[in-house]
Amino acid sequence: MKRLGAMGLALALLAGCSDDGSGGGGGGALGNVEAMLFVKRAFLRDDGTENVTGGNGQTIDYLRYEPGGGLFVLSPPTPRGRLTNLTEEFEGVDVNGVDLSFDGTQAVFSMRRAGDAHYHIYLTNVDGSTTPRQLTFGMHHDVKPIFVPGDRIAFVTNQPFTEMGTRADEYNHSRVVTQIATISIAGGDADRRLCSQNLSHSADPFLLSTGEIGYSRWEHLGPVNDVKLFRMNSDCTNMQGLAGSGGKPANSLVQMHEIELGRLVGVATSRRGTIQAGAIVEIDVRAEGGLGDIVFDEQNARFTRLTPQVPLGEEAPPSGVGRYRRPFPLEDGRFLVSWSDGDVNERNELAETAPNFGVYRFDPVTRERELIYDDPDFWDVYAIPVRARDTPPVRGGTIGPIAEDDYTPAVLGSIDITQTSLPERVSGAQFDGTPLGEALEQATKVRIIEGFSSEIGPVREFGLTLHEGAAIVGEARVYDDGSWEAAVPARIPFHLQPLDRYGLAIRNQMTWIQGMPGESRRCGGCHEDRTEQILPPTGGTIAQQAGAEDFNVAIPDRRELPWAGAVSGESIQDVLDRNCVGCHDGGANDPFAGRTYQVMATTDEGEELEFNVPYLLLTDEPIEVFFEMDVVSYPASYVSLLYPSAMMGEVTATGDMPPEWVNPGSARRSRLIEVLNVNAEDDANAWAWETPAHPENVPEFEGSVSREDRLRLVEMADLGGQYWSRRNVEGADQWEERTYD
Amino acid sequence: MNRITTITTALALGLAFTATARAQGDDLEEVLVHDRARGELSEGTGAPTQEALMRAIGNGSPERLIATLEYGEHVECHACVPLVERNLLGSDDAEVRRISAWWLRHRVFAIAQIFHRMEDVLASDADPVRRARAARAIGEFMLPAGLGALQAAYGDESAEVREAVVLGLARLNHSGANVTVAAALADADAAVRRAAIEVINQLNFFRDTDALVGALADDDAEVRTRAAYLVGQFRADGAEVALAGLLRSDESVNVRQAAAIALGRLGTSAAREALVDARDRGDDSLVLDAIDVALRF
Repeated sequence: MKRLGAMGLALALLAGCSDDGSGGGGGGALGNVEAMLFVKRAFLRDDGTENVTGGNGQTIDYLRYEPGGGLFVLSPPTPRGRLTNLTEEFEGVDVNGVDLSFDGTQAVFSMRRAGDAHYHIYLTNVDGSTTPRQLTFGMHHDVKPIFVPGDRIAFVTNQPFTEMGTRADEYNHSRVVTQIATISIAGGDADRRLCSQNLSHSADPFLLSTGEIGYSRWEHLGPVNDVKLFRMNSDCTNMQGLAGSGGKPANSLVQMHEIELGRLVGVATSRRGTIQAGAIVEIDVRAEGGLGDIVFDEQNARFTRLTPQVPLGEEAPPSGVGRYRRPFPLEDGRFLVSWSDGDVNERNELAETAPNFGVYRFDPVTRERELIYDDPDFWDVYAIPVRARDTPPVRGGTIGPIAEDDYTPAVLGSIDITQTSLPERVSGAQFDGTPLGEALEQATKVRIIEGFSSEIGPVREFGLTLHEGAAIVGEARVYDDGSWEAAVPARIPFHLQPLDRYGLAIRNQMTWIQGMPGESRRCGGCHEDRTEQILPPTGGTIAQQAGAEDFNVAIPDRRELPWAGAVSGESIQDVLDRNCVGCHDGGANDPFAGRTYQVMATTDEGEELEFNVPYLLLTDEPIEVFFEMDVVSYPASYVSLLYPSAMMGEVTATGDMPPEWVNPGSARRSRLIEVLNVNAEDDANAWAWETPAHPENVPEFEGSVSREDRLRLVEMADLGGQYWSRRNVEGADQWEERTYD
Repeated sequence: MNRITTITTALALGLAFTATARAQGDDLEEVLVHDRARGELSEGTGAPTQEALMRAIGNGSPERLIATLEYGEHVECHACVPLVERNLLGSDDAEVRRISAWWLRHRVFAIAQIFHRMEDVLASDADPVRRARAARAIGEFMLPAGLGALQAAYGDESAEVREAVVLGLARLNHSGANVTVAAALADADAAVRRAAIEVINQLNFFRDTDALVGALADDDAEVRTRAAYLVGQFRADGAEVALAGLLRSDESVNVRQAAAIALGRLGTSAAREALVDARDRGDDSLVLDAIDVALRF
C-alpha cells in the first residue's frame, strides 16, 4: 500500500474532521502548551507486510512488538512542529507506555529494544538532555508506567509471583497474566513491590487526584468475563471497584485518565477484536447526595458516550467515524486522542490494512477533531501535553516499607453484612424473590473461597464449568450484629459467599478481592450503600472484639473439592459412593436405570458417532468413550450431573434429557441440592426446602445421609461444580513445604 | 446483570447518557450466575451459535476465530470438531493452532481420539513440522497422559521437534517434566536450550540450580542472560565467580546486565565486590544502570 508522506497527509487533514465524518475546523497548537510527548509504534514489517493484531488482540494485551518506533517530543504540538526522538540511541525500539512527571520535565516509559526480549521501564528527561536510564530488568515484561506520589513509579508486570508462576485464568492461555507493581525512582528494581494477585490481567494504570492508582482489571470469575475499573493505594492496599460493577456501556473500560476528582475519561470497547481502540466515554463515579467530593460510588457510576457513533462492540463503524485510543484531558475541556478511520477491527487483519492512528485534539461538545500529528507509517499514540501538573498527596503511610512478611495474613470482614445497596432478589429454598438485604439477615457465616487456575499443573481446565479452581479457606461466623472477621492468606484472590443456616450461599460475589500482608479490609456490609456511613460501634463490632478467625492456612489445609482421582483427601465421588450409588448405579434398584440421552459426534473421517449419556448415574465408571481410549476421563457421575448444565448453545442431544442437576455457582438453584435438601446447623429438623429430604423419603432406603455429606455437595455446587483441584496434581504434597502464595 | 437502565440521546449535544437507579422496590432483579444458553454473562461475551462457529472456522480472520472459539468454550458443535482439529497441524498461525487445541480439549466426546491422533503424529510422522505441531497440541491439551508422549519425543532427531516438546512440557506443567527440561538445558541445539531456559518459571517445583549455573557458560548469549537472571532469582549457591566473570567480560550487554542483577540478588560480600569493581571499571550505560540498581538490593 502506497502511503502519503507524513507531512503531506498531515497538511491534508489539517482542516480537521468530526466524529460523524462531517468535517470541522479548529486551530493548531494545544493552547499554551509548548510541546507534546507521544509514541510512534511501528506496524510495518521489514518485508512490507503489516502487523495489525499481533500481540494486541485483547484490549488489555501488551505483547505487540514491532521494532522501529520510538518516544518523541513534538514542539510546538502542531503538524509542522519539530520532532525530537528521545530513544534515538537504541535499536529496534518499541514503546508501549509513557507518562510525564509532575513537574513536566521527565518521561517514564516502557520500551523493548533490540537484544532484549522484554519491555522494561526507563526514565529520561523530556528535553533530551540525558541518556534514558533503565530502572527494571529481568525475564518479565514491565509496561505502561505512571508516576505516583512519593517519587515512585507504578506499572504493569507479568513477573511471576513465585518460582511456580502466576495465577492465570483459563483465558490467559499462556499464563502471562499481569499485576501492578511499583518501584522507586531512585532504586528501580531494588525497591520493587508487587501488588496482590488476580486471576486475570490488571492493566492501564492511571493516577487519581486522591493519590490512588486507578487501573483496568480483566475479571474472569465463572460466567463473568469483562474489564472493569479498580483503584488502590500506591502501596497496593485497599483494592476496590471504581466503575463498571453496576453496569457499563461496553465489555471493557480501558485507557482511563482522570479529568477531575471523580470524573474519568477513557475508552469503552469490546474485550478483543478492536485493536485496543473504541468509543470515548466519560465516567462520573462521584457519589450522589452531596458526597461526591469525598466518596466514590462504583455501583452507581454514570457513563456518557462522547462519541455516540463509535460502536461499543466489535462491529464496523460508519465511514469516517473510526475508533479512538487513550483520550487525555486538556485544561479547556477537550481531549488529546489517537484516532483512526476505518473498521479498526479484525477485518483490518483479514485484509491486511492496518489502521492509521494519528494524534488529534477532540472537542466533546462539537465532536470535531483537529489534527495534531500523523505519520501514516506509524501508529501515533499515548500523547501527553508537556506541562507541569499538581502532585497528588501521598496517601498516609503508604510509601513506608511493608513491615510484615508475606506470611502475615490480611484481615477481611464486614461491620454489618446485612447492609447492602445491591438491587437484587434471592430465590431458592426458603427464599422466593426475597430482597437481598432481607435475605442477608439470615446470614450465619461467610464462606471465603480462594481462586486459582491451570497454573497448578496438568488439568484441562476445571471440568465442565466456566468456574476457576476453588478452595475454601474458611467460613467465618457472622455475629448477631452482622459482623464477621477472618484472617486469610495475603495477596491471593478470594470471593465471598454469605451463607444461611443451611450452608447455602445467599449470594455469590462475582469479583475477586485481595489483601496485602497485614492489611485490614473491613467493609460496611455486603456492598453497602457508598453514600451512607456504616460505622462500627464504640469498642468495635462483636467480630472485632472476638478477634479475626484464623484462616491463614497453607494450601494442604484449605478445603478443596476434587470430584475424583485426588492424590490425597476425600472426593465428591466418595460422598456419592457412600450415600447415592447404592441406588443410582444403573442396576435393578436404580429408578433411572436405562434412561439416557444421546449426543452426536463427527469424527475426522466424517463418521457420525453417537454417545449415550446417562440421565442420572452416580458411579465412578468412566463414560465409555474415554475408557476405551485409556485417557484420563470424567466418571459417569460427573458427566451425568454437570453435562446438562454445560451444553451451551444449540445442543445436539436428543432423547431423555434430564434437568440441570447442578447450577454452577448456586446450590440454592441446583435441582440436585433441592432434591437432597439440607438441614440447618442449629436445628437438625429444620430443612432448607419444604419437600422431604432425599434419600430418606424413599421407603426402601435405610439409614441417613449426614449433614456433612450434604454440605459437601452444596459446596460443590456453590463453588461451581469443578472436577479438578490441586489435589489431583501429582506433586501436590510438595505444596506443604513450598511457598506458593 | 446490566444496571444501565436508559440510554437516551440528549438533543442539545447529541450525547448519549446512561443512568443508574438505586435499588428499591420493583427495581430489584434476580441475579443469575449460570445461564446455559448464554454461557458467559458479560457484555459481548455470549456464546456463538454453531453457525457462527462454522463461519469463523471457515472464513474468519485468526482474531475472529480466536474470539469465537473462546466464547464458544462449551458450545457443542460436533461438526466443528474435525475442522478445528485440522488447524492443529495445518495452520501456519501459532495462535490459531493454540486456540484450536484449547477449544478441542473441552470437547468431552472428542478429545481422547484427537489426543491419540496427535500422539501418533508425534511418534511417527515423517514431517518434523507436523511432529512439532503435534507436540505443542499435546501440551495444550493438558492431559497428564501427555507427559509420556512428550518425554519420549525428546529423543527426536529434529531440533524443531525437541524445542516443541520442551514448550509442550512447560504448558503441561507436570512435575515429571522437570527432568527433561533440565536435560534440554544441555541440548546440542541453541533453540532447544533457549526454550528450556525460557520455560523454567512456568514449571512447578523446578529446583535444579546446578543446571542453571551450568547454563551460565552456554555459547548462546540469550541462554546466558536468562540463566543469570534465574540464578539470581533462585539465589543459587556458589554462582558468584561465574557471574562476576560474565559481568567483567561477556561480550553481550544483556548478559552483563543480567549478571549484575543476579549478583545484586545474591547479595553476598563477594557479589558486592564484583559489582563495585565493575562499576569502577566503567561500562555501557545500560550495564551501569543495572549495577546501580544491583548495589541497592
